[in-house]
Amino acid sequence: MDRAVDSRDFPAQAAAALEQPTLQRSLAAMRAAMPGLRAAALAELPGYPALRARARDIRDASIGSLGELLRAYEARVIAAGGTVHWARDAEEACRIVGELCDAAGARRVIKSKSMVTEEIGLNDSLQRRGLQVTETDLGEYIIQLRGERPSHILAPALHLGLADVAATFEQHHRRPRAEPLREAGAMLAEARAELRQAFLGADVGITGANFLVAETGAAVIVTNEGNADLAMTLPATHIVVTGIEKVVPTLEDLGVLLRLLARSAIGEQLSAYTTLVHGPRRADDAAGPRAFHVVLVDNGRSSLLGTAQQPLLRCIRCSACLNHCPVYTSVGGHAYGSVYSGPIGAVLTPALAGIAAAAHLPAASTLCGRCEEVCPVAIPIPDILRHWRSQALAARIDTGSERPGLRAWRFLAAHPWLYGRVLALAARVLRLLSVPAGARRRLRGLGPFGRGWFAWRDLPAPDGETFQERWRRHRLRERGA
Amino acid sequence: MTAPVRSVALLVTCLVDALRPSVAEATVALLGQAGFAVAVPRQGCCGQPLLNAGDADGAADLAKRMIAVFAGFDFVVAPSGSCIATLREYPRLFAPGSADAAAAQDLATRAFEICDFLDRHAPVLGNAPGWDASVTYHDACSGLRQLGIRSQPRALLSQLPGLELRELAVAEAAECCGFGGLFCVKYPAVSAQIADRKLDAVLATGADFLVGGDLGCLLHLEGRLQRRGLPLRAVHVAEALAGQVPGGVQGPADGSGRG
Amino acid sequence: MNARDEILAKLSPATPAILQPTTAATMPARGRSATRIGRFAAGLQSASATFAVVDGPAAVPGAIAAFLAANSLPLRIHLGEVPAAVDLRNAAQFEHGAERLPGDGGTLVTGCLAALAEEGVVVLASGARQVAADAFLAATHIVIVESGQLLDGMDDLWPVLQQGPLPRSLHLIRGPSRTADLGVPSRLGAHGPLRLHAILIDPAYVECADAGVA
Repeated sequence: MDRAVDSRDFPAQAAAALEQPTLQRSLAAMRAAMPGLRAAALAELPGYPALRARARDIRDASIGSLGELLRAYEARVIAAGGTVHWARDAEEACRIVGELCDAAGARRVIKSKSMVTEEIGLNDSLQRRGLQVTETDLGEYIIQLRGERPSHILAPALHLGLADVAATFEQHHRRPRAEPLREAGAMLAEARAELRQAFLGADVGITGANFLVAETGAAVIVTNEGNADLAMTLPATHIVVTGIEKVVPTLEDLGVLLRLLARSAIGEQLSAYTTLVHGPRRADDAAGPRAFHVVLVDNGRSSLLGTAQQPLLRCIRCSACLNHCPVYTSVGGHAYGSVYSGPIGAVLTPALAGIAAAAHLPAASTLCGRCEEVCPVAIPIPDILRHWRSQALAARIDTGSERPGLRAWRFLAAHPWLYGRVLALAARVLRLLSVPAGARRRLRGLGPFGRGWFAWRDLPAPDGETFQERWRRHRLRERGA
Repeated sequence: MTAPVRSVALLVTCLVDALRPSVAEATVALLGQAGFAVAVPRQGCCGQPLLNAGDADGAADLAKRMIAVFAGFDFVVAPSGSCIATLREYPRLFAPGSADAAAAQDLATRAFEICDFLDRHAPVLGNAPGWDASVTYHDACSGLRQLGIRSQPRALLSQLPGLELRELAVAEAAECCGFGGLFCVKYPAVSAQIADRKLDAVLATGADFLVGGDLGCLLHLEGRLQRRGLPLRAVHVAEALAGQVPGGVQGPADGSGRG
Repeated sequence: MNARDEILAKLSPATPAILQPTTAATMPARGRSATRIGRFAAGLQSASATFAVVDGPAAVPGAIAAFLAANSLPLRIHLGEVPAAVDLRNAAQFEHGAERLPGDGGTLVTGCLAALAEEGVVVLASGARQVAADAFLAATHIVIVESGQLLDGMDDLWPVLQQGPLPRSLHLIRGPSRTADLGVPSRLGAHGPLRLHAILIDPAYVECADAGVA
């Protein structure tokens, strides 16, 4: 990834996030609302399990035939008068887009939300070339003004409250104001007006694509705001930047995935705008971009083929896993230090940035499995998290100090007699160090040991004798009696 | 002619072994009441911490030992969904088609969590102890999602005279407690916040006790309750079913419980 | 090797995956109403769009005027591609806007390629007489749907697309534009229209048979 991934900072960032009131309020609202919305929307679908299995199979079949499907897609785009470009990595993708903008004589670029363009650092790259780049998705626009990263796949400004947005607009929008911005409706009207100028004055519109359909050569772009549609119909050049894994075979396959996308994401049947774009303006079209380019980005995706991580390529970026994750909904997206956060971020970021940079992400999970349960394409996220943990272990990348402890534990557990003695000793010591707590006993701390536990919890005191000890003693007594 | 008594080996689990033997005692009592001969072969750890930490070699090593320890028993039963879920993962630690994989698969088919086991083999408690209390139930994630354990503990608890079960609100019911094995000490602040959300939901039910099937969750939640100065206590479902609870009316038939 | 060849080389799978033809239907949800129109109305309503039915093309101008009056909007419309049978050019009650919509605002009236009952969607295609951008620049978008264009749902759209030549862009529009970035519930009129109104021409429609929303 273009930006330095600082997920090494996860523990400190997470601890800080727990103390941020605006973020915590947003996350609490998300926890309260999103699972119920998704569940209600899926309950309307008769046979959701079968539909989900079909969606998984469609994505697996696509991943298994990426070469064939992308070639078919490319052929149709070319036949429609468009151009397809291939980018091996972030740098190449940025260069291609930059050159396309230069060739178009562009000065102003508008963008709709695209995780891939964040991943490759496109905005920074274009700005270094002297281009003015304006995000048009409202949440992306707000964080662009603030110089921040997105904190959720679909709701990039989740961590901000209305007061933050008002302050940002007041700072950046040059317009006379009778009174300070307070009301969301007024903020929306102001953003709409500001961005309308950007839409109308842009030379190039850059969008992502939620899906590519090989059968018809369609790039499918899904939004609720309609900003992508303006970005792809007004400027003279439309550039789609997307990952190579997004392609599906047919329109029917697209239908299955669309049926699940908005329901899984926000509990809606379908988003406000689902757009299929096939190429540049035709000879007899009344309007439309004269140039249409699709940039297919690899950036590490192909390296996942044939590995245990391959299933993560099924992802349709619905964000259900984020919305249901106990860790994400405690700390929000910024703590992950990556463009992709939540459970999908925890399995994807190490693939894109390397496990050394991203080891905390797969480590910071309880493996509760809720992500896999709510994923519309059944990505086995806990399994993949464990695979990343294996790789970190093998590469001696520590996210805590458990490696020696695990070695010691393995040795102990492999020698049951010794194991029994050590556990018995531990039980006695803990009992001895315990203090009364009403009718029971507890430990409040163990000095320098177990700080992770005792910083936040007491430990209910054990009996002082292990079960196996007690059992064997009773058995001996019985035999002796 | 009665069928031969089937043999069950108890998988004690490390946490129960060291930190709450009464859970194993209760499990033995329940299995005995259900008509099984219970053995406790000398055993180590099922390897769950190693498996979850990504040490597949270490987990495979311990898996082979556990497979050997439990060979020859009709069933292996544990008072823990997460440990049984680990046993059920053993086949994937070995090369497909190998003898180890076959032995692991065989063990996986014989291994059960206690409520699941009773539900299958002795769904009606022989000696249902009374418990005049209200409880709420925490479904541990691995038991719930990997073993499908949800209705079984409730069906068993509903047989205890005097017991009132109050469910957690839907939004919080399926959420993790924040234990997650090593997670709770590697990312303790996050773990504690997740625990607090679960505990707020638990307290909102007004129940007298928190009951659950995995000791890791229960120690983590009870430890957090104690640190917060809250008197609510956690009881393992095996303890509840065997009458080994605070204020229990009747202990198990062999008198090994405590009131 | 260029980038294309390099990437494609990495994608050659050992065993290409084959997707079996699905025996199970894709199982759309079925709205509660027994009639397609009822489901369409329910779908539109769930998307914060509004709906009216008229019994013939001649009634369309009146229906549009009624909608604009009800929303305190001026009787000034811009025309996209509307059904041939609907004459709006000569409808006296309207003032016709300039050839192109202003940068923001205005009322656009279009027909559609199709409408999807289950999803409450109108499908707009770019073309010789339809500027797709207009549907997103306008503040109000009124869509005329002929009864033959109303399909059960998305599954029925694909065969239509697979037959004909494809437009440059195809827009499945479900209600007005909206955003949740300034809080929930979503606010309408983010960048696209604030209002979406569908007028269905159905000579066979009997008003009392369907309360609109089941």
